[in-house]
Amino acid sequence: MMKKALFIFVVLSILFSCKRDEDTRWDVEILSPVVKTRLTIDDLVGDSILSVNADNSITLDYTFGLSPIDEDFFFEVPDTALKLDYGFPFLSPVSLAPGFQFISDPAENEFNLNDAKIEYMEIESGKIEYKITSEIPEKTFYTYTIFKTNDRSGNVFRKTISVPAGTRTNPSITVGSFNLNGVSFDLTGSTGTKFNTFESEVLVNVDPAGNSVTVSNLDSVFIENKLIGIKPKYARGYLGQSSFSEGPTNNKFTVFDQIKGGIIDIDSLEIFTEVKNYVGAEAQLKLNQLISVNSQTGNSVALSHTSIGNWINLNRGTDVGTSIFPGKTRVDYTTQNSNIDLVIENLSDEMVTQVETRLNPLGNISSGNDFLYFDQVVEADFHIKLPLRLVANNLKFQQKIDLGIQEETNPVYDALISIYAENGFPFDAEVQLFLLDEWGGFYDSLVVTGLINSANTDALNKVTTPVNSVVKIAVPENKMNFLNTKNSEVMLQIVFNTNSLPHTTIYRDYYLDLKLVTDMNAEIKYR
Amino acid sequence: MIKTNLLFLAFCLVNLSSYSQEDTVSNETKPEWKPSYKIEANFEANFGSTDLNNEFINVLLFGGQITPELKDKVLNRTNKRNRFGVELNYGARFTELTDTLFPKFPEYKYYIGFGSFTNLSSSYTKDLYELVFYGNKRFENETARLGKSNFTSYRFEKITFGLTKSDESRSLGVSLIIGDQFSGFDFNQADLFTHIDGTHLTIDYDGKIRLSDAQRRGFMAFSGAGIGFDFETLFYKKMFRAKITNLGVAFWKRNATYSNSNDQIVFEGVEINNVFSTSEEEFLNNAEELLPEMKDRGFATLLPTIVEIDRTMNPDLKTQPIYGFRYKFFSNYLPQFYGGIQHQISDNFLVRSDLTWGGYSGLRLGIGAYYQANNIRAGVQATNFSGMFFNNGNGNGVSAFGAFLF
Repeated sequence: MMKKALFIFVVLSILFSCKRDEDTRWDVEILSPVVKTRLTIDDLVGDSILSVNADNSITLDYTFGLSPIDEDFFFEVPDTALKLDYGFPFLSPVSLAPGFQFISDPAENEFNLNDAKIEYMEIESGKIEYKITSEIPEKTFYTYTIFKTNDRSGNVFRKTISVPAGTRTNPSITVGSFNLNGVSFDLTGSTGTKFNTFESEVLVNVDPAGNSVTVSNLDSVFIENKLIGIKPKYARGYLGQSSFSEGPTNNKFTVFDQIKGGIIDIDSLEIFTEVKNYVGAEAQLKLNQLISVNSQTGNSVALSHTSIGNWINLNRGTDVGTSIFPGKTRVDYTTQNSNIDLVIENLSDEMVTQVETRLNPLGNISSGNDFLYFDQVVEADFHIKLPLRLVANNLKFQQKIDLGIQEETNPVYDALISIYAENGFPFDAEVQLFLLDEWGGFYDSLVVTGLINSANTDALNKVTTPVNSVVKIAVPENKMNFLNTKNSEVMLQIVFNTNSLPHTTIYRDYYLDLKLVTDMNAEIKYR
Repeated sequence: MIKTNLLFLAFCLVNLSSYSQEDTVSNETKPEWKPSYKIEANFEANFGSTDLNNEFINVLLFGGQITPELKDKVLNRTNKRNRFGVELNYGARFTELTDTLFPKFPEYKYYIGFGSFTNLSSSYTKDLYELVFYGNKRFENETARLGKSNFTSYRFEKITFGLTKSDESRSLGVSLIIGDQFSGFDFNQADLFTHIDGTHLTIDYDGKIRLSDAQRRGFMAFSGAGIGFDFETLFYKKMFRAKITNLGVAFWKRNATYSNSNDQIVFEGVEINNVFSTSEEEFLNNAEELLPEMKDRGFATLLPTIVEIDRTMNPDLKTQPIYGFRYKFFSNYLPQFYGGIQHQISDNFLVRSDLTWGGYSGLRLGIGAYYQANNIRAGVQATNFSGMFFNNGNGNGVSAFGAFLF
């Protein structure tokens, strides 16, 4: 008896203490809503600004930039090295008293700005790097001044540094840099009539608190200055002639991102390119090509318009002190003067553009009164104002959905999915569901019965009442098994077709409510 | 593993708690030898249910397929309100038998003890059983009444200091409670209506959820802390023994969460913003928002106090009746009654058998065997002997105790 009790105890102890090696599992039948969503026009059109008109209809307002220009288009200030070598013209050794200034060397320096003739420039960033090699056997002070400048405090740019004593055999070397950020330059030189020119001065003194020092013609001071990475913020004068070519560039076009196929016929549209020239100089722009590319279908449609391949003159901007009024130029594309409707109806996801720009094509016609703010130059935008009044034919919207089935997920044997729809759009909608293989490709489809019917409409094809429909999707055991074991991703596709009347207007309050309900046989398990 | 368990058995012997033979044995200790110390250990494990049979419970606890036939069999036994529980308790105690810390009370000796208590219990409706094991489809256009139901999982350790009378007629102990884990789901009302075709689920919910730190659940985790008292005394001419274990409270403050809500929820699916640009993350986040909001807030729980009243043994009778009562508060426990007979086979051996009803199970047969020598007492009991051998039994249980005097 005791032995048996012991046995039972041991067995129970093992059961309590040992890890389970098998799941507890059972089957259940679940009938439940899973997901609900409301589709509005905002969900169907990507990254656009939808504006509501007075009659509650919608206009799609989309803009993308053509990037016709970048900062390299304008003159650059090259790194400029200035090297000075000061010897002493004494035949015999001379004694220099403390504080004695033994070098005073004003000089004019010129930026090499090609054909630009700049009178005034503000520096965004940049610096002067220096290296001073001294053979003077006493500490000296080096003062560097750039005349006709203003730093951020309104002072002339002037810097003084201390240079330790050196010898001919062991000269002292001092290196460092001066920051030029925010410094403005008058580039008219000492006479006020020059361009790209600034006047500087180097002074070198013996330390006033030091000792007298003896130098001869064998002693020298070497001064190296280098202007590094000068990036202007503003320039005034003649900006010179330059040209810039951009592209072909693939611009992402997201208006129809959600649409994966089908045909759309647009009733009317307003599409134009607007160029704003913030530069105080005349310019020209040429759009060599604008091609609408639909990467899903492989179709490309090139814009055909008189502006394509021809220079467009851009008037100069006006600086009123507090702001700049750009010179604006607008090119309109209509169905009469171009094939823009075909460009849009191609449902492209990319626009390929190629743009050229020229500055001062007529030379210095402003007598040196050009100006340029480097952070605001030329903007060219492609605008689409599209009243949503259209005909849709098999317009396909797709979404890949991962059902998140993993090894530890409770498996579903089979399911009947019901989609309850309340449709307030004047479109029919067909729902399709595809199984995807491990590589994301199409594997199989699921049988779908039913259609989401269009809402009821009046004589003007405006929705009067929404219509309820039910779509059933059967997921049999073999296909559920594929989802459980191979790939749990499915592709949901909804295909829209406008009803028979042409050019249906979309109103702001249109919607499609979808509710997904499952009736499934599943296994519950845990370990 | 079996070897380990045998060694463990040799060390931890049954404290038959409510059926303990300690009074009988202590009276038979030879008077000429007076031990100085006593070390005791006890172990108790049992599970049971008022409706789930052993076959079902075994699969539930240890894995396997719950077949439709098995579900149906249990459904036939399921009542309006049902219970299921698992208990696993063990402990050890050291008693100084000669010295006392309080000279004014020389008859009281002190003891130091350790105990561990695990209790998983539930009470649930028939509808809840059906919903969990069959799914909600059978409730289409019907209401599943899931309340009043309760699920409580409680695990804690205690370190006890106490005083016990030399003749073991009375003892009192105070314990530091070290909370490992507490999960409490108390659904006062939970009515689930499944609309036709499953287009909506309507839930009328009134419930309380209390959860201790989910990241800290191990042995001596200190997720919570508290105080408990143990008390034991003989009464009514020493014919009965009353024992109260774990009368006290635990405070769960560290990363505890709490919800007490009363709401009607109409579930029409997890709402997603745009089906054409959704993600699994959006779905899961929105689904989580449907659940009762859990606030970061501590809470206090009363300990699952055990109250036992047993008839003491008469050392002069070889065969005598045994009977008693046991109840465990806050544990979905039914008042438990037992009655049986005990027989002294020899000076060293004693056997007993009883019928018990209550706790987590219905009527069941228990048997036990006990041994005593000069300085050793030990016993083992199958508290649900019938359940061990029948699939239709409704639980299992063993308890063991041992004492070594030196």
